[in-house]
This record gives sequence, C-alpha cells and structure tokens, in this order.
Amino acid sequence: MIRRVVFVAVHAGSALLLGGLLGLVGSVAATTAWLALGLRASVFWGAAVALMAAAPFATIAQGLPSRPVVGAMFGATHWLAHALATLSLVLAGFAGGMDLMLRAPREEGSDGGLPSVEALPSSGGGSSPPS
Amino acid sequence: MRAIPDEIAAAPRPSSDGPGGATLTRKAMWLILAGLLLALPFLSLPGLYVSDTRDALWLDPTGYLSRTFLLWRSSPFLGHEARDGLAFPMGAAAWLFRTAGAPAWVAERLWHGLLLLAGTAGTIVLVDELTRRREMLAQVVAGLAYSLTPFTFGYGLPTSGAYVAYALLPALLLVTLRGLRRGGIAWPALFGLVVFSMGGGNGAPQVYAVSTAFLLMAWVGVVDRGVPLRRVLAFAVPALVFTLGLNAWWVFLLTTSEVSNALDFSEQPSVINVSSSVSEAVRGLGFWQFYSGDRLGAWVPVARPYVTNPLLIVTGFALPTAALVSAWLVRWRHRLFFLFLAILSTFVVAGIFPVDSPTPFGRLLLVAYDRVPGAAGLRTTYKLGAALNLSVAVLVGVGLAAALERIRAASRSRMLGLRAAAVGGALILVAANAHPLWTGGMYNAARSTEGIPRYWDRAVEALSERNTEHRAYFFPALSSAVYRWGALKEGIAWSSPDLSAVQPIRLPVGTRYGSNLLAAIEHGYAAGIPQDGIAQVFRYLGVKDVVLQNDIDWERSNSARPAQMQGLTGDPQLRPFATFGLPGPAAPEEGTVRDEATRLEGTLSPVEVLTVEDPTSMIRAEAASPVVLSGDGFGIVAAARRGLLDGGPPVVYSATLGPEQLEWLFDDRGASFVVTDTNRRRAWSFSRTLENASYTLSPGQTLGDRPIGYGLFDGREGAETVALYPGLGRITASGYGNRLRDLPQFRPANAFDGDPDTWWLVGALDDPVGHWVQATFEEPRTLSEVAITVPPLGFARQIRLVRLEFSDGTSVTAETPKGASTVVEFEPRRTRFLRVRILALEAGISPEETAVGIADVQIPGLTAREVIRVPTDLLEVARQTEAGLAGFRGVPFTYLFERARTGDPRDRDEEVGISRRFEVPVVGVYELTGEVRLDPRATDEEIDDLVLGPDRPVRVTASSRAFGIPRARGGAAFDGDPETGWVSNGAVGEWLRIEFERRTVGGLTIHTQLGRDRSPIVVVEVTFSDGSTEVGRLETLQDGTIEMEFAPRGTDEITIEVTSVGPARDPTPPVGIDEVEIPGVDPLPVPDAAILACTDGPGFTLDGLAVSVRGRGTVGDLLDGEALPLATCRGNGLTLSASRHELVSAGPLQADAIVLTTGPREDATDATGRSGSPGPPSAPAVRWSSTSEGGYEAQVTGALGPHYLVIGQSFAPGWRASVEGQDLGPPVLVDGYSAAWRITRRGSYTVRIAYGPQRAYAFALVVSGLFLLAIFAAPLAVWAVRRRRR
Repeated sequence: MIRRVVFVAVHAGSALLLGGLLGLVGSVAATTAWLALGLRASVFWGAAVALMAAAPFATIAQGLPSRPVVGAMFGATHWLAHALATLSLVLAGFAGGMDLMLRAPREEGSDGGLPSVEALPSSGGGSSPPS
Repeated sequence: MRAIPDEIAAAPRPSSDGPGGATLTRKAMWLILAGLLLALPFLSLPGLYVSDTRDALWLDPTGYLSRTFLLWRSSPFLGHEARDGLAFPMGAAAWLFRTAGAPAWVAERLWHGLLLLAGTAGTIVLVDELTRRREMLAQVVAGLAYSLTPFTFGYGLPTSGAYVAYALLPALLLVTLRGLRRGGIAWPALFGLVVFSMGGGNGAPQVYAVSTAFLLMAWVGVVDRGVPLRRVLAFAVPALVFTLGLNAWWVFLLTTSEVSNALDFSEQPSVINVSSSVSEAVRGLGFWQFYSGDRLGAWVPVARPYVTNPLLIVTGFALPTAALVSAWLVRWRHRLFFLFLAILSTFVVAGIFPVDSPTPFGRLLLVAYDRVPGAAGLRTTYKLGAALNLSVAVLVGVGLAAALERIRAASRSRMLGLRAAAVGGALILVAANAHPLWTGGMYNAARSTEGIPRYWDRAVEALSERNTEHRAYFFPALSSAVYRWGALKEGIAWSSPDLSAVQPIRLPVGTRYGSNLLAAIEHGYAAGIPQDGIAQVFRYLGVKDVVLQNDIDWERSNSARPAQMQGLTGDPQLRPFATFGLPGPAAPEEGTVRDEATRLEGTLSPVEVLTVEDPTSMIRAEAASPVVLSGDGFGIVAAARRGLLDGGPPVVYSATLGPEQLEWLFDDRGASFVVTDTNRRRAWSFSRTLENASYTLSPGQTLGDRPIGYGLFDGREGAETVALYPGLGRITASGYGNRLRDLPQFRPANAFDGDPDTWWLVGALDDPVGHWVQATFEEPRTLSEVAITVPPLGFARQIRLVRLEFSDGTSVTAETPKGASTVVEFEPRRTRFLRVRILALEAGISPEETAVGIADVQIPGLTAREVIRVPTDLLEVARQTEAGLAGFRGVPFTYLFERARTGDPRDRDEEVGISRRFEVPVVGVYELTGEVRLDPRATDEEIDDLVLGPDRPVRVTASSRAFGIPRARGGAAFDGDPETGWVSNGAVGEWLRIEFERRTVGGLTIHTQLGRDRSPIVVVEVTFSDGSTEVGRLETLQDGTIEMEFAPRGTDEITIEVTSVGPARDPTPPVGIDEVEIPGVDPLPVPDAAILACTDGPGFTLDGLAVSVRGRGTVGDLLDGEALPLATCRGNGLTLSASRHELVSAGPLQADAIVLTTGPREDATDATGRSGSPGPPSAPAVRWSSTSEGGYEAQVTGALGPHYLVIGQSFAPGWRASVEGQDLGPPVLVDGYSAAWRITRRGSYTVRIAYGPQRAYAFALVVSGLFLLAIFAAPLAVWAVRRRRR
C-alpha cells in the first residue's frame, strides 16, 4: 500500500513538475483509471504509444509552414502535438512506474539478459488495483 | 497486446548472430559501416570547406595548436582569455589530416565520418552489452538511429567541437556498465579517458554526458541493485577523480571571462527554448536555430524538411513511438532506465518551453540559471539531446532484436518475410531521418567556400610582416563571415592565428571595455558620422593598418557595407597603403537595387588597406597627464572626433577613479576633464553588430531580459547617461520597432513628446494588437480627455481602435481615424498612469506586416519632454575629495554632447535635437562650439527664416518637399533662378503658396518640370485670397510652361494646386515647378554666398533662455546640408554657474554636436601642445618583446618622471607587472580598454609583464598531463613488475 501511495505521489509530483498542469491532469487521470477501473499497465502503455503515434498527425493537421523560414513559434503554434507528446510521456512514465513498483529486485532477468514479460509476477506486465 | 515471448531470455551470455560465418559477417558489418560513414560525408558539397567550429583549426592547425598552452590571446580582439578546449581530439585530428596533406575540406569530411562512426559503433557495442548478444541488424539500426539524426546534421557536424561528446556518449555508458560489473581501477580510468576524448568544446555537452553516466550508476546501485552500492561508489568516485584530473585543462577554461561573457550575452533561455516543445524535442528537434532565419532564408536549411515534410514528420515520430512499444513489450535489465532517461531528457531538452508560461520545472531552471553558479552554462538544454537520442536508439535496437528473435520462431517462409519487413521498416525510418547524408544535403551551401582567394593570402602575408608590434584592424564588425566568394566561420582575421589583428564581433569580449570601444568605432562610420580623429583612436589600439574587407557579403553577414566603410577614408591621417585583388566583387548579386552605394562598391578592390600616420606600438609609454573622461568608448571616439585627444594623451575613465586617484590628478596638474553624454543606459542585442541598442533608458529601467549595456563600471548608475521625463515618472511600452532590429527612433517616449513628427511604432513582422504604451505620472492626475494622433503611414495598416487604461482599473475605448487627431473625452478620473492599448487595426493595401503606432497622445497640461542626463560620477567622486568640487577650479573642463544617430544614415535619427542636463562644478566661462546643419524636417518657412531672414516681402510655402531636401522647398520656385525649383513628395493635390503684399494680378506663368522622374503637371487650380479660383492647363508636353490670363483681381496670396498630372505611372513620380512668375511681384533670390546670420529663438536655449547662435558658413553651405561649425553670436562664451543646467537645441538649425569648454589653461602647455601647467614630462621610449609564457618584457629608456606604461592588451585584473622583482600592483584601465601601470621611476628600466592566471592554467595542464601519464604508465609498470616476479 505504501509503495502505491509513494508511487502515485511521486508520479503526480513529477508529472506536475515536468509537464505542468497538463502533466498533472494526465497523472491524475491515469491514477484514477488505475484505482477506479483497475486498468493494467498495458493499457497505459498502449495509450502512451497511441498518443505518441498521433502526434505527427496533429503536427500536420495544425499546418506546416511553406515559407523558407519555419518561424520560431512553430512549437507554440503546434500545441496539440506538444500536448499529445506530453501526455504520452506522462502515461509511459506511469506505466513504467507501475512496472518498477511491482517488480521485485532483479526480477527482470539475470544480469544483462532479455527476459520477457512472462517473467514478471503478473502476466501482461500490469497489476491489479488494490482491492 | 501480446508480449514478445521468452526465447531470448534464455541467452545470458553474449552470443553471435547465428552459426556459420557470424564473426566474418560481423567483421564485414564493421568494414561496411566504416566505409559508408567515412565516405558518405564526401557526397555533400564535395570540394567545399564548410566552416566547422573554428576556421583556424582547419586552415592553420599548426598555428592554432601552437597557442594551446597560452591562456591569453592577443589576437583577433584587443586581448582575451582563451576558452577553446578543442586542441584534443579535434585539433589533433585536424592537424594530423592536414599534415598528411589533406585539404581542409577533406580533413573536415574525414573528421565528420569518424564522429559518425564513433557514435554508431559505440551504440552497437552498447546494445551488444545490454542484450549480451552480438546481433547485427538490430545493433546497426540502433547505431544509425543514434548517429544519423536531425540534431547531428543541423547542429552536431557544423559545430563538431561540441558534438564529440555526443559521439562518445554510448562509449561512456558502455565503460560505465562494464566498469560496474567488473570492478578495478582500469575502468574508472577508462571512463576519464573517454571524457578526455570528448574534448573541451563548449563544456555543457560533456557535463550532460557525464551526468547521464552517473544517472546510470545511480540506477544500477539504487534502483536496480544489480551491483552493490559499495561497488558502484568504488567505480564512481575514482571515475570522477580521473574525469576531473584528465580534463582539468579545459575545465579550467570554463572559469574564464570568455565563458562568462558567452553566458551573459549569447542566446538566453527564452530564445533557446522558444521552439523546444515536447513534441519537437522528442523527435530530436527543438533547437531554436532550426526554426529561425532571416530575409535571406533559413539559418539551418538542412533542418527545414524535418518540419515541413509530412513524411519526415511521420518517420521522425516513428522512432520514439517504436521506443515506447519496445519499452512496453520487451523486458530486459535496463529497460526502465532508458525509458525514464528518455522521458527526463525530453523534458530537460524542452527546458522552459513554453517560454511565456514555463512548467514548474522550467521555472526552477530559470531560478537555477539565475542563482546557482555555473547553472547558466547548462541552459542550452538541447545538448542533452544525446541522452534522449541514445535512449530512443537503444530501446528501438533492443526492441528490434526481440522482434527478430520472435520472428526466428516462425516458419521459414514467414520468417523471411517478417524479418525483411521488420528490418526494412526500421532501416526506412533510419534512412528517412538520415536523408541529408545520402542525398548530399548534409551541409549548408551558404556556409561554405572553395577556399580563400589568393589575394587574401597576399594581403595576410603583407599585413603579418608589417604588424609585428602593431595590429591590423579589420572592418567591418561581423555577425557572421560571409564573403562574396564564400563563407567562413569567423572571418579572415580569425583564420590567420599568426596575424596580429583586431576583428570586432557582435559579442562582448574580455572585460568588455575593449568591445565597447570597438562598437563605438563601428557605430560611427556606419551611421555616416564624419571620421575625423579616428586615426587617434587607432593609435590607442596599437593599430598600424586598417583593412577594409570590401568583398564582404554584407547582406548575409549583417554587417556595415563597403560604401559605409569608405567613410573611414575621411580622416586624412589614414592614408591609402595598398589594395589586393581586382575591383568588382564588392557589388551585390544581380537583381539587387543598384543605387549610388552599389555603384561605388563596384569600383572598390576586394581588400583595401589604409595605414595610420605615426602609429603607436601596442606596448608604449604615455605621459601622465590624462584626459579624464566621463562616459565610455563612444565618448572616446567622440572626443577624438572633436580633437580633444590630439597628441595622444592617456584617457582614464572617471568611473574607474576613487577620491584618492582624483585628488592625485588634481595635484598632478596635468589632467583635463571631459564629460560626455555616452555610456547610455541601453538594452543591447548582441546577436548583431548594427542596430543592436535600444533607446536611452531611464535610471534603473530594463527591457525584458536583455543585457543592459556592456556592464561597464559594475553598472554604476552615476556613470550612466539616462533619459528623464520631467513631470513624468516613466514612459514604458510593451515593445517598439520590430523584433529583428532596434529602432530607437520609434521609442515609446515619442508618443508623449508633443511632436507629431516623432512616432512610437510597434509590431512590425508581428501582430501589434495588444501592444501598449504607457505614461506613468510622478503624482496621480485627474484626466477627463486626451487627444490621440496616429501617424500617416500611407497605404500600410494603421491603428483603428485603442483602449485607454487607467490605474483605477477603468478603461475607455476610442476610435482613431486615419491621419487625424481624435479628442477622447470621458468622465474625470484620478489615475497614476495612462496606458494606450491597441485593440484593432485597419488593414492596409500593403500585405506586409508593417509597424503601426501613435504619433502623439496629448494629455492636457503635460508634455513629456525627454531630457538626457549625462553621467554624474565625476562630480560625485570629486565631492568626496578634500578639495571637493573646488578641485576643478582652473582645470580644463569640457562638456561634449552629440546627437544620437541611427545605424542607417537614410533612416530617421534617434534624436532630432540635443537636450542635455548636466552639472557644472565651478563657475566659469565656457566657449560654445560644435556642429550644426539644417534639419531636414525643418519647414519651408523655417528654412527661409534662416537664409532670407524673418522680415522678407514674400513668403513661399508648399504642401511637401521631396525627401526633405532644402533646395527643393517651395521658395526655390520663386527665387528667380530657373535652375532651382520646388519638388513635391506626391503629385495630384500638392500645392505651392506664395504670399506677398496685396496687389492686382491678372496673369501668371508657371514653369513646371518635365522629365523621367517627374509627373508632368497638366492642370492646376489657382486660388486667390478672395477665394476665387482659376484653372490653368498645360498646352503641350514639349514645353512645361502654363500661361494663365484672367480677370485682374486684388490678392495677397496665390495657391497653385496640382489637380491633374500626365500619364499614370507606378509609382507616381513627384511634381516640380521651376519658377512662378507673378507680374509685379519680385522673386526672392537666395544669396548662396552670403554668411549665415545669427538666430535667436526657442530653438537653442540654456536653462530655458534663448542663446543667439549661428552656423559658421554660407547660406549655400546650409542649403547643401553641410555640417557647419557652431558659434555663439554675443560675447566670448557662456557663463555657467556651479549648478545643474539644461541645454536644448531643437530648432531648424540642428546641432550634431555641442561642446562647452573652459579652454586650455593659459599659463603653460605641455610637450604635445596640450594644456597643462606645468604638466608631467613627455613619455619615455619603450622596446618590448613577447615571453614564452604569453607575457611581455618591456625596456623603458629615458623616463623623466611619472608616466603610464600601456600594454595594449584588454584590461583584466590578472595582469601583473614588476620592475626588478618589485610588483607594480594591480593594473589600471587606460585608453578605454588597456591594462596599464602608472610608474614614477626615472631613467631606464625593464618591466616584466605577465598574465597571472596563466600559472593556474599551466597547473591545470600539468595535472591533465600527469593523469594521462599515470594512466598509460601504470599498466606498463604493472606489466614490468609482473615480468620481473616471473
């Protein structure tokens, strides 16, 4: 239980610190989904991948410059891609954090090996929420 | 989503990529990779040198490396501390390649190939280590994904000195992992060696790389616990010791003034992170220069496709997406480390993005940059892109390895297909990211050259021979060094390390005094200010030859142009010496405007050398009778221009003096004092060399995070010249001018100065809506109305709606009709300020994003007159002396004020007049001199008042005057001279009015102008004073005369309005009238040869009282726009009381300079003819030579008394001098830049001069050397001992 509390607090704090309000929203949403819906880590991994995969299309959708000089405000004007990438990393951090939290020391295989997810205590790399 | 199965988990030991010839395949892989990566850079711009990091390093590596052990560099500035830690490995590699006979471009390509190979190979072996498998395809993909990125092409290779750390980061992590696992002292030593091999280019990338390695150690020891913490520490501590020891030589350089200057004045966090959104950072972009450019295009063209090509955007995001998939599905030991490293480094690269509202982390960074020593050095967060890209590459590589393992389990036919798809897909992603490499577009063609022309070789050779004890001064100052024949990184002077030279650049150097002086020199000729006396400034700098680089591509270099440099030839003490190359290349490319300057440039030789008459050596003695100057380098140049420094007296800044030194100067009876209006408090933009300073700020005022001035005199307020607004507290605005250059002529104060001819403009190249200008009152005022005038901006966009905001939180919205003044009335309210905010614009015909603004905001009972207060430091210090201000009694004292002009002589000037507040220490009679000219903004009436006198029988005015040219005024059409005439600005609607004594008129003859550059006047309407009108028509276009006859009528005024012109042309040329003949009214000829009369009036006042002045010249001189000496008309001078005074020159007789001086002391003159009674003796002779430690030995002969020994090297506290072992104490700042000592010794003696910090640098070099020796000697010793034991 303590590990979970520490994990949630650390993740929310890190998400707020690094990602600002958007990061915090992502973290709270992930935590809520985990605790309330019992989602597994794989869901968050999948969401992180999907958000990152969507980022290029958001970039394109918000318009690509045609002038010779792109313009310093490109990053600011393409806020949707920024938000998607931020949320993607927040969720990836959440999923990675779940994996880390639930991992016993040296569970991920012997020194230098490439163990699969089956080596983990919970198949699929996820974990159930506290009952 | 299903996970990758477990097969690959059962492979604890390193294994090969399948049986049968695996080792051979692996060898082949290395060979192919090496061949490809070494060869591919040759595809891009073959034969062209691409200016990587430092020119000298490639063009003269021996000369460059020969200075490695010296901390102080005399050239190419006025002396500065080194900051390059490029000698190893980059310098060594360049030297090896060049010594082996490779041309510069080949050496560059080989070096770049090696870097790509190092990064790729390191990643391959790192992935080997992490997976414990010697796969091939996955590792190669990871290696290439790491090395071939936009970051590599856009930033890394063009500045590879800072990229070596990137290339070696995989090796560093590899050593860390192996060292942690295996233990022993060899691995920490190897860790230090890898960091040593990263070199000292920049510093930040190395710190980021080492930090990444230490994060890995922390992960392994604390989170993973795969290695006991004790063992981690056993590795980390010695690794840190080896790192610091081996790299002491360049770590020391991080403490030099050049690094602190770079931190203070180069790009700031708000620029660095302006584009580094998380989405851009995560795909290896986000570096601000990738997105920026100028009117000539993108600064980093190679990066543009990554932002504009949809396919490349998709493939760019595919790598981090694939990395996430890998982190999700493939379980291996350090998976989470690389995941978290990728996440952390992405956010660090993003830094303070969005810069307007940073994340909490961004705010922490800003606090750290500001308060934590050294933290600002890490503000270039994009340099952590190495850790980000490596994390992504490793995750992708491991993921691909796992995928290939899984595929191996499939049926053979399916396996081949899947394998091909996986590898092919991965390679396509890598290839897309690496497209500049294989398409030959890796380098920026605009930043390359085939080589330096032969004429430059000859010029440098000649200059080197001539300037052994002097310097060659290269013009113009450069933002970047683009010549007509190609581009260098820093320019010719930098690329020739053996040449003693001065090449001003945009950034301040050293203790900044020298840079300030060089900026003053640059500003002078670029603004078209006459260059009289500039030779004396060159003597102070130890300059013998002045080199005009006429082959500079000034448009791309953002520099002054050759035609402007020709202004330097105006000083007769600069004589032509030689030219190199054939005339021609100075002219710009086809298609550019061929104006007069361009035509002149076409006749200039590419290299023109002027020589200074009677140059002085860099190291010299100067008589101890200084000119004490209140101001900065701009004041020195101004004083030289006015002849106040003739004879070369030492110049001492008053702001460097304490009471004791001032008393000493009072006693020395040789000093004279000059108070200037320089060291203005301005915000600077050190990203360019011209138009880089703001308007003069109020005391304590700042403009965003822009640096204030050069930070001279520790920023003491009393040493600054500042703007005051009597009756107002302060005038501020959200911005002004445009964001590419400073335009102080459009400063906020113009909106409140009561002069509708001066404007506040804002929002060029931007959206002006939301911008505001504000007047803050000294006391709260009750307002109930204001009048707002918008400037006439022609067809450009204008302000349509504004909101007046008050300090009580209320506001009033008002429309601002085009070209009219609007009185806005509202309920009375008490307010501390009035802010006018732009709410809406009226679109113009022009599509360009031009500036909009306000000509005037009239607040009843208030006019915000701008007064420039000159420095007060001298009198402040004098008050602390025993004599107080009385110490100045009988001492030559001068006030020197110059009107601030802009960098572009065709543009409006920053100041239209001179308004100065100054304090006089002791009552005295001051001679008033200076320079005046006719203000181009003067009305026709004001001009005629000056040249014809106020009591004239006929008055002529006109609607406009072409370009403000005095000879084109209305009066020229009624002067009886058909050769002169009125020329308007426009055509239809322009008018000419002639007023005379009332008489009967029944006819009129108008001689209009015809020609290519005039619109022929076809119809005019003539209006008389009784309101009647007549129409006159041009009979034929062959003759421009309009004859009119009409019923006689009495009138005292005739207004001729142009109502129709000939065939329409675009743009419409102006109209002109040579002469108007009115029967019975005599024309008013202009007496060109007549001496100008005195003028009294409000245009020239002292403490509010008019001063009668005149320009010493003829009417013709004045009308021709010539600068004329200024003189008073009554008495021998002005008596000024010991108090504060205000001098204002704001009339049509526009003052360029005003000098108030008590004149020379009458009782004696010194050896140079300067005032001084009796004054110290003349300076002794000096012979000098350089020492091997970077110092000097000077032999002084014939010293008759006190004198200054000036070394011609930038002032720095570290300079030390001794005579026969006796320390002369800390140096003083003399001549605006140089270290010097005041010496009272007589006769002949030898001075040893050394730069103190050289010892510490030498110690750091020795430490690095000893560590290096120990690392290589220790294994040999162990081997020898073991052998003996056997």
